[in-house]
Amino acid sequence: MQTRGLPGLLLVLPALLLLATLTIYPVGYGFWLSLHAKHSLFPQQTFVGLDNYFYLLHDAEFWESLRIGLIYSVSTIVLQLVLGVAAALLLHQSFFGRNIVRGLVLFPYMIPTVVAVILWKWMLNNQFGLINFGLVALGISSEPVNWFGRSYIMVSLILVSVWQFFPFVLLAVLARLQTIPTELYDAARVDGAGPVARFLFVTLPQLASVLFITILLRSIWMFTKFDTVWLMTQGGGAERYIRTMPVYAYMRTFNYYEAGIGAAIAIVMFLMLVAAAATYFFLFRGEDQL
Amino acid sequence: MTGRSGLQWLLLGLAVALLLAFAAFPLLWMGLTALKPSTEIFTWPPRLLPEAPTLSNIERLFAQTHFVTYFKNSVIVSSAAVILTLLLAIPGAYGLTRYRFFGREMIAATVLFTYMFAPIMIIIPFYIVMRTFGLANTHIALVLAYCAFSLPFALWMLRTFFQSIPIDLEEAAMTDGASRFRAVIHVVIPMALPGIIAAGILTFILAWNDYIFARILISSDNLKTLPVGIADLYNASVIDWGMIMASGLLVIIPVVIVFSYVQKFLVAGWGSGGVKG
Amino acid sequence: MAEVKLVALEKKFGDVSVIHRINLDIRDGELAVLVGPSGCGKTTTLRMVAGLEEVTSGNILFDGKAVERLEPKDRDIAMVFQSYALYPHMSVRDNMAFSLRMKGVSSSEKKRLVGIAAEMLDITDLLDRKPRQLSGGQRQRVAMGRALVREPKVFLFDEPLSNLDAALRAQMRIEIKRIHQRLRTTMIYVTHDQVEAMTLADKIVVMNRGHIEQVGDPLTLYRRPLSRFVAGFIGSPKMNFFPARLLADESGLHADLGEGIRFDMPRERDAAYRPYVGRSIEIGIRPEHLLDDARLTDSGTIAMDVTIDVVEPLGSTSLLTFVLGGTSYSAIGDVALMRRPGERVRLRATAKDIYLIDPETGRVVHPADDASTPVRLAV
Repeated sequence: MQTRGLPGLLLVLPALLLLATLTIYPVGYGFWLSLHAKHSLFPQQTFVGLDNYFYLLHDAEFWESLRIGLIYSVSTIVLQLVLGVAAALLLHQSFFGRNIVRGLVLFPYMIPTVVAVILWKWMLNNQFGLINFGLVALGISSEPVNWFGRSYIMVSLILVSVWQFFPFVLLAVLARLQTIPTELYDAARVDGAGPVARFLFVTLPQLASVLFITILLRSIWMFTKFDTVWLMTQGGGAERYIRTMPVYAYMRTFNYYEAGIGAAIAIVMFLMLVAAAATYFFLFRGEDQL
Repeated sequence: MTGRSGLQWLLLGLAVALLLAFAAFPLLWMGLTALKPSTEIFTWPPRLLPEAPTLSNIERLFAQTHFVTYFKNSVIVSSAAVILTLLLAIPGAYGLTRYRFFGREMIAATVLFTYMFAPIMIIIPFYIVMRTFGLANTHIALVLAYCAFSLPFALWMLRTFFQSIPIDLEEAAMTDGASRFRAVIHVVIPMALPGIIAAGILTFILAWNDYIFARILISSDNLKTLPVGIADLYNASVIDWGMIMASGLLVIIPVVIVFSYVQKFLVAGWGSGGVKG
Repeated sequence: MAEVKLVALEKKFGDVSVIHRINLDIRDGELAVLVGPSGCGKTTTLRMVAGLEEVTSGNILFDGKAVERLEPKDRDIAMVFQSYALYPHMSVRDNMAFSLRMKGVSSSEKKRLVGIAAEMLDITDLLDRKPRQLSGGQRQRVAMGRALVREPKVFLFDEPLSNLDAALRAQMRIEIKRIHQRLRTTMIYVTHDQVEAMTLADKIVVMNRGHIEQVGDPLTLYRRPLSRFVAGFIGSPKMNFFPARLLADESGLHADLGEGIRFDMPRERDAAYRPYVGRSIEIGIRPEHLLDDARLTDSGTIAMDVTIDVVEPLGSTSLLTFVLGGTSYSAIGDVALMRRPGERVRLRATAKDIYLIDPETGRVVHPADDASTPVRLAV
C-alpha cells in the first residue's frame, strides 16, 4: 500500500538536494572541465573540445595506467571475493568463541587507510619488518625482500588492499548465509549431495544475489581507489611503476597542473565503469531477483 | 553423520587460527610495537612481546604533535557526518519506500549510480563549490562531503529495511490514534534500528577513515583530521615508528569500542536489510 | 521395501535426554504414523531414521542391517520436508532429478524416472517451471515427486501437509494413501494432526515427551487407549474426563461424578474395576458417545442431567458444551432439537463406551487387562 506522492517527494528532497549539489554538479563540472585546457592554479580556461581525449589516446602513460589499474582492480577483487567467501563459510560454522572471532576478523575494514598502510609498511620493512624476518627464518628467502621496490610493489599493494577490504565481502556473505534455510541442506544430504555438491548447488545459488551486489560495489571502489595506492607507493621508489588511473589523474592535475587532462582521465574511468556496469546488469540481472 | 570428527575439529581450528592471524595479528603487532621502547623496536630478529613496556611513545605523541587536536577534529567531523546522514537518509528512505511518485524508481537507481563517480573526479569541482560558498578549509565542508558520500549507501540500505517492515504495523498504530509521523517514530524506526545503526556505523567509518577529502579540503593544521595528521607524521623526515604505531593504536580504539558494541547490528543490517533474498 | 526397527534408541542434547530409549517395529510396506504434541520427539526420531540427527545410543535397523552410523545418502531413503525444501533456482525437473544426478545416473534414465514420478503425481506439465511459480499444493507434489524418483526403501514424511489449507490437505492425504497403496513402500509419517494419523496409518505410534505411549492400528487406539494421554489425544473432539469416586454397594459398582450425577458401572467389568472402589478415579466418555438423544433408553445406558452452556451447530449434529464442577465438557446432540444455552437436558451414553482411568498412574483400566502389563511397545 502506498499513498500518492507529494509528501514522499518532499521527504526525499533534502537528501536529493545534497546529492545533486555535492555529487552531480561536480560530475557535470568534471565533464565540462575535460573539454577545456586549464591550469590547475589559475582561473582561466580555454575550450579545446575533445583534444584532451585525443591526447590521452596517444599517451603511453595513460595506457600504462589503464593496464596497471586493471591488473590491480581485478586481482584485488578476485582475491577479496575468494577470501571473503571462504572466511564467511568458515565463520558460519559454530564453534566456541565464534562471535569474538567474527568481531576481530572485521578489524582491517574499520581502520583508516593511512593506518593500514603505515602498519603494513612497518611489517614489510626490509630492516625490521616481521614479514621479512619470517621469510628468512623459514628459509623461503635468503635475505630480506624489498617489498616496495619495483619487483614486489604490486604484490604488497594487492596484499594490503585485500587485507583491508575482504571483511566487506565477509560481512555481506555471512549475513546472507545465515538466512539460508537449513532444510535445503537436509534435503540435499538426503538426495546424496556431499559437502562440495551442497556448496555448489545450495549455497552458491543462494549467495548469487549477494555476490552480484558485492562484486559490483567492490569493482567500482577498487577501480577508483586512490588513497591505498597513493599511500603505499609514495616514497618507496616505485611510484613511477604503479600508477593506476586515479593516481595518474591526480598527478596530471596536481603535479603537471593540467586540470583538463586530469578531468578527462576521470571521465574515461567513469565511462568505463558505466559500460562495465551496464554489461554486468545485462548479463546477470536475473541473479538479483532471487 | 552430523557430528564433527576430531580431524574436522582440527582443520576447523587451524583455518580459524590462520584467518585470525591474517586479519587481526597485524593490529596486535601494531599495539605491541606502540608499547615498546625504541631499543626493542629496532632489533633484528624482531621480538614479540615488549620486555619493558612503556607509554613513552604515546607520551611523545601527545606532547610533540597535535595528535589530540586531530583526534578531536575527527570525532567532531565523523559524528556530525553520521547525524546529518541519518537525518537525511531516514526520511528519504521512508519517502522512497512508502510513497509512490514520479521518478521514484529512477531516483533509487540513480542513487547507486552516483557511486560510479570516482572520488578523485569529484574532489576538485567539490573544492571549487566549497570555495565559492566560503566553506573551503572548514569542517562543514568535510561533513557535507562525507554525508554526500554515505547517503547513497545509507538510502539504499534503509530503503530495503523499510521495505521489509510490513505497513500493517503503521496502519495499526494509526488506527490506534497515532498520526503518521508518530507511527513512524514509535513503530517503524525502532524496528529499523539495526539498519539505522548499520548505516550510521558505516558512515562513521567512512568519515573517520577518509584521507583524500580531508587532505584536499583542509589546509590549516588545527583543523586536520586524524588520517591526514598521521600521514603527515609519517612523512616527517625521520620516521618515529614507535610514535606512529602509537598513533595508529589510538586511532583505532574508538572504532573498536563503537564496533564491538554494535557488531551484531551490522550483520543484521546486512542480512535482512542490506541485501534481498 | 524394508522392515524398520528401532532398538533402544536414545537421543541426548548435552545432558538432556529427549528420546528415551524407544523401541519400535515397522513391518515392510507399512505406513506408520508418528503422532503427538509439539516437543514429543516425533520429528527428532524421524530425523534420526533419516540420518540428519546423530544417534546417542541404540540402533536403527533396515532389514536387520544397522544404519545409524550411515550418511543419509547411504541409507536408501527419501524425505518430504514440511517446507518442501525445493531448490529455488532449479526447475521442477532438475529438482526431481537432483538425487539421480548425485548418483551419476544417465540422462535417459533420469528422464525416464522423472517422467514416471511426474505422471504419478500429475505434475508433468509443471516440469519446466521454477518453484516460486508454483502454488503450495503443487510444490508439495514436487517435493513428493523428488522423493518418489529415488525408489527408496523407506519414505519419510515430516509434517508435509501442515502448510496447506484444509481442502488441499484432505486432497493430498488421499494422494499419499493412493501412492502408498500403489507402491507398497514402507513409509514413516510424522504429524501432530491426529485426523491425518487416523486416516492414513496402518499403524499409529503415539509419542509423548520422548516416549512411545502406545502403538496400534487406528481403531485399536480409538477403542482401547491404554493411557489417559492416548485417550485424550486420539479422537476429535477430545474425550471428556470426569473426576469421580467409585462406590460399591449390594447392587454393584457406581460412579459418583458430583452434582447429583451418579450411574452404574457395567457389571461385566466388576472384577477389573473393583480394586478402585473408594478411590478417586476419572470417567472417560467421548463426546460422540455422550448423546442428547431421548431414544437411548435401554438398560445399558447411563444418564446425566446437565445444563447447556454453549451450542455449536456442526451440520447435522451440534456440539454441546456444559459445565460440571467448574470444568467444561462436550457432548453431541441432534441439531433438530434446537437446544439453547441454559436448557437442562439429559445426556445418555452406552455403558460400554465409558472408560475408567486411574489418575495416579494415568492408565486406562481395561477389563481382562493385567495391571502389570507395560504399555505395548510393538504390534
